[in-house]
Amino acid sequence: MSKKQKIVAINADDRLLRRVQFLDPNFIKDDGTPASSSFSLRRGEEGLSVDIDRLTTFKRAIQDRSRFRLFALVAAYTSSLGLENVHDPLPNNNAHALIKGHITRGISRKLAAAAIRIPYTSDGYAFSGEFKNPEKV
Amino acid sequence: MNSTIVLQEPEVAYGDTQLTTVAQPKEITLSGGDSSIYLSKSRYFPQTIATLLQKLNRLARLGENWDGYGAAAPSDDTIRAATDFIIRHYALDLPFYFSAPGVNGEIMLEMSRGNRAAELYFLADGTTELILFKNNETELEGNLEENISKLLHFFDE
Repeated sequence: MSKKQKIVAINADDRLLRRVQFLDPNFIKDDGTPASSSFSLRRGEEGLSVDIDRLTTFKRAIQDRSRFRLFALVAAYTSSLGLENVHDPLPNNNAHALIKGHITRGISRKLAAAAIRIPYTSDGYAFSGEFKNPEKV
Repeated sequence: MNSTIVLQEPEVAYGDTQLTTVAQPKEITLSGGDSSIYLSKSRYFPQTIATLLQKLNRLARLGENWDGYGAAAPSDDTIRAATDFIIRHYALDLPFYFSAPGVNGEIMLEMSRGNRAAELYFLADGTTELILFKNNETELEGNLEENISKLLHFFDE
């Protein structure tokens, strides 16, 4: 972590963005919800990697739009499951954060079910409803 | 090593009655070397099942680090265990819905009907995990071997 990167507190209404792979292999089900396994930890992983919405842009967060789609979790919801949201800036990504805690299969399913898809079109993000925020493109 | 499973379909079709036929033997060749699955008569499987088997066939080709973050590739044995489970149970009205790999080399099969869902994990070490959900709340957590009967009846209730 760079010395210049300040740790910020994650607010209850912060949205936490997670990339979900939809190609080779696909983790998004026919009903549009992501599979639980896209919200599970690899062995030895400290927490689920997410980006804090207000510190990034959707374009930056998705990294590779040919492979990923973006889903958002509200920080208050992950906290309600007993998980801890921690800002964890990386040298190349100040928005990076971790959702830490005991992420069981059951918790993974709840996270996946609660994740809100951020609409996307070939021209960019189709802003609608709560995600309407053109400045973030 | 190649093995061939010949599945004699039951006299009565339990699942997708549109595509499930009666008394049609199905020959499925499982190749141990590259985990390729050849469905010699895949047209006899319900579409959902054929799609799942095809996806498993593709998952068998995943290499190490398939997600770019160090994910383990599912082994041939893990793919075979998931495939065998589908082939042996698809006619029992289990609502197979989705499959996905896990970052630790596991394969997940999801079954779903109404507010009930089951996630069955075939882990890299050969063990299984079974979780039953009602409205996304965990109803049961265990392994397949001890809870197969509960799984088979879970969607009847």
